[in-house]
Amino acid sequence: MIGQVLRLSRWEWFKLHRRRMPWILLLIGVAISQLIFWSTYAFVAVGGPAAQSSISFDATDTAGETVEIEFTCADLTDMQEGDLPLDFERFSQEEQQNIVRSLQEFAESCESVNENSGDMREAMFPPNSLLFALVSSLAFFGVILIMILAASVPGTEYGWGTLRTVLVRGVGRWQLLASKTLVIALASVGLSALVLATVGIASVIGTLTLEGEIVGAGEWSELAIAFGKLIYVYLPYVALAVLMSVLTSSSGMGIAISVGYYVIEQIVVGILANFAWFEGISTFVLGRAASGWMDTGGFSFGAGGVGAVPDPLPAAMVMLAYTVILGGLAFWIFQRKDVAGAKGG
Amino acid sequence: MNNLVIQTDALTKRYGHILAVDQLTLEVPRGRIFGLLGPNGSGKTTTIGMLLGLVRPTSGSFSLLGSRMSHGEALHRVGAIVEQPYFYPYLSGRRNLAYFQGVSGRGSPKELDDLLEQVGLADRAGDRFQTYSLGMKQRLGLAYTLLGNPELLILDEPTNGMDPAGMAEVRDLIRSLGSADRTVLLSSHLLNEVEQICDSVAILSKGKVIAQGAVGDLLHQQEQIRLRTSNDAEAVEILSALEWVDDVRIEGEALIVTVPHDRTSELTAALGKSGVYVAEITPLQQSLEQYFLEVTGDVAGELE
Repeated sequence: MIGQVLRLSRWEWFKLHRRRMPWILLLIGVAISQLIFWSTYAFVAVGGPAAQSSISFDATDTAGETVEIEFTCADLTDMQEGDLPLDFERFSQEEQQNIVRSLQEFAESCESVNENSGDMREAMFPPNSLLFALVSSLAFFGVILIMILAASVPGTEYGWGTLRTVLVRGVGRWQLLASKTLVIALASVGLSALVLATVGIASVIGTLTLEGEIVGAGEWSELAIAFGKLIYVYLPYVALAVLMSVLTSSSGMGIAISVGYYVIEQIVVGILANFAWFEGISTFVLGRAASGWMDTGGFSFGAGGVGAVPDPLPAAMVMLAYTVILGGLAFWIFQRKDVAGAKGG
Repeated sequence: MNNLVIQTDALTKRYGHILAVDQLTLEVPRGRIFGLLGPNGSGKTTTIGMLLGLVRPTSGSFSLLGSRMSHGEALHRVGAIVEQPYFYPYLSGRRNLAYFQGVSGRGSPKELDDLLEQVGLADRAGDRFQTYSLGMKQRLGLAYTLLGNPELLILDEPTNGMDPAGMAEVRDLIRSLGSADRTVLLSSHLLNEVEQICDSVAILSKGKVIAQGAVGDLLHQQEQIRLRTSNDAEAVEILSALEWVDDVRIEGEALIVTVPHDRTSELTAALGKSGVYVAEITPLQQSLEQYFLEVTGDVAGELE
């Protein structure tokens, strides 16, 4: 049986890698992750939050003129290094004390801003750059791309009428769906890894420009764990997309329903997270559970990460339950459904 | 070895209120070209779907190549196209065949070359399926059914969309495929096609088999002759009294008599004995089309 599934998987791959769709999805994944990386890079390159966060107030000099004073957090850092961007001598003693008091208050808020700037700068260097891409791109857009792939693989068999042509060769139904699911899973891992690899190349280029370390802060093991967690997050969403395409006998409907559910759930969870009563049941919401699972290690998962998220272990159990129930339903329906009608739908 | 490759017993399929196949009992003998005829909606495709495991029967049972109902292994010995040949549009004809050969787990690249040559697609084998004409798709469908040298071929409208030359070529091919080792089940709405190719036929109407047997036997059941006599009215009286004459009717200036052709001489003798002389006698060979319309019309009338 397992041998048959593996043989069918080989032939599923034979078909899949010759389709345009997985390559287009890969291209979209790469484009989104590169866009996010280079936008963040551009922000960091011009100083990051430290250069953007500023204070502005008016002071009166000894000649009675009103002077507008504006400082950024980066200016304060320069001042600490002895570079004074302001001629203090033109102000009276009292006005100088007022300016210093204002700057001291601003300096306190700059501490966290500078910390963020440092974090963002570190996120540009591998392996943190890959971790950043995993959280910012793959954990949201990646799931959508994988669902499109997962709904399309069984769904197009109905659309093209080829399911009937395959089944009359004596191919077992559950073996066929199992081989498709296996190929979807492998393609998801490959697609995510390739997206991360392109971010890795981009971050090396960025690192050279930013004069940072090629290998920055952060652990490669942390990246490996996060990648494994991301693949686990894909599972219930793959099961959902496969179920919807089998149920509706259509890849278009399968994509629309599963992606629609994912996006709407993110919005609804974002709103309901503000209510205390939601916390009690939130563990059982798929997006929320995924968020709790990915949150270990300091990463949130889409809008599902708003507010307090479930603990990783119960979250993992909930995701497993979703995978088993949705996947089991998909196999049960696929096994029993008549392949009738013009194209077998 | 069982001489029947397909045997159904009260096979029934119901879709909600619609009874698509009703207590169907069908027997397809080994080594013959068997035709499945019926008007649209008569249950031909649903029956084929059940035999191939695509549609779950509501009740009844069947055996396919000696295997009852659960027949994954039996399907490895069957080549079938249901309704239309559907393949992956972005793959070439050759890659499509390679895929279907691969999922079956049997065959060789040489088999693909031979089959493509046999159906006349060798030159276009590398082109994408979506660029094929309907006739080429049908040819690829035929090559697909022959993968693995199956014992039983189930062909649904195999010449659909082909030009007359292509149709003749494919009919010759199908005729050559039916042999002692291989059975062909041909479902077609082209009655002359079935008449030309098939040895036996089953006629379906409203989900039931209303006639089944060798094509020659079915047509001989309804052998007719046209008579011109010296006295038609008296001839009708005399012939109606003969128990081996099935039917006599006046049509224009002649009589149409349903009688086995081998009793024609007895018929003329009976008329001559009574002083009615035969001026002209012409045997009428009923076509399958006439027979089909007659039997399906009868059933439609009964059910209405």
